[in-house]
Amino acid sequence: MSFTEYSNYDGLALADLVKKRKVKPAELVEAAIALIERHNPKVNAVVFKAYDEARAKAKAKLSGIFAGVPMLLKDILGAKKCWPTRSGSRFVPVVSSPFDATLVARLEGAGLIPLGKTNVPEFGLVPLTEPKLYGPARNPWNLDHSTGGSSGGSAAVVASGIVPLAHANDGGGSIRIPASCCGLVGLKPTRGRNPLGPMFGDLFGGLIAEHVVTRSVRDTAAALDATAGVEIGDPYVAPPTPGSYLAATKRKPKKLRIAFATKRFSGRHLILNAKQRQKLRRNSARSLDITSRRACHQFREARSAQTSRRSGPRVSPW
Amino acid sequence: MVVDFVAKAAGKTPAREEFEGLTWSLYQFGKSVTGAQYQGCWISLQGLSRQVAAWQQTYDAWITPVLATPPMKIGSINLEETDLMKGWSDRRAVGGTRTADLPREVALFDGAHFLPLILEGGN
Repeated sequence: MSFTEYSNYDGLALADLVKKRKVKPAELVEAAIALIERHNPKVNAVVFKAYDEARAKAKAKLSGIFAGVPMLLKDILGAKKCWPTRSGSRFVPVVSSPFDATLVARLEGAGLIPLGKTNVPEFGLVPLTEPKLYGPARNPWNLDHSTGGSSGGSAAVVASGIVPLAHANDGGGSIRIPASCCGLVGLKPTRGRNPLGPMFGDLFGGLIAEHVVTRSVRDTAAALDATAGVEIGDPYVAPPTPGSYLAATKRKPKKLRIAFATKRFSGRHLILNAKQRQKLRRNSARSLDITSRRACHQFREARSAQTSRRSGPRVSPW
Repeated sequence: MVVDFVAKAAGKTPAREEFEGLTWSLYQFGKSVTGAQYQGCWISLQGLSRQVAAWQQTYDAWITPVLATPPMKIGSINLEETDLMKGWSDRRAVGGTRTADLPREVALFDGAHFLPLILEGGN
């Protein structure tokens, strides 16, 4: 498998190749390592590397829906035993974690192989990734521009094709903003859906949610299948899941009532000029197959936009 | 909270030169907030959360752009800035419900932001 081929697959497709014995986990790990070494000097997204550990894990017996697929963990939360987590801050010393975070254990239980840690802003405080500790992560689509943040390093490694999915977390947009900046799928799950243990039961009143950034809706859904669920000591739990999220992506959606906003809470326009707003309405109407429309920004009885998996080759713009 | 948590765990005393300006300013501001004020903020926030969540019951999904502009150039924001009024917030996440970014191929326009019900089909 060449680098280009590797980057064309999402996580589930790579796992399927492993399952069919068309490729070995060790080959996927080597492809990811080669891409880190090739692209990271430009995107500055990987800040801690654990290649030997990943190579050893790739040779071990793996099981789970993502068996044999490489990934990276974010440098905020996502504790892995014997790895440091510095939250992008010079104040945080290089100290090896004595445990795996529950989320990381579940991701590895699904067969994913962590290769290292990704760049973040200091303590994840801002929606861009330019910490003094590591230097700025760069957007693979245009190296002069921001990856967004705080999961900017994770978004950059997925957008550049280094790994199909990477750990991320979100309080005020830290999954969604870098996903938007880098053209990825980013889901912030419901409060309490994914675990924060063993260190935390709750962070900022439930505002902080753990998950991943990916290149396909189905990878995002399958990862949530693997990680969602209560753990002992949780202060509260999310409502029951409706079954498999991955299975949900394959079902034809019911008719949905969809709203969209062109203004902020403050009343200011999100879309800056009238021409853009008109284009948005036109595109939305076409995509949603509108059957009735009561207001320019509010639709009823609209068919859902199909949230199918994303396909097509990844880009290497540099 | 975060800085003091790390300081206690590491046995260190926070010093200005080990932090970016914005982080240090937020840390100093946080120390000026009393426990009662902090708790009061959570009561307000959770009240807002209920309003947002109630509004969301009207719709299966709400689509809005994640960002109003393309990704900014690196270096556009000075992280040594100490004026906290230049900060940033997002009330869409307050309701505790799931939200998602989808790329153009599966969404309606660049960086569409789905809130909240596509994948789970109900709260």
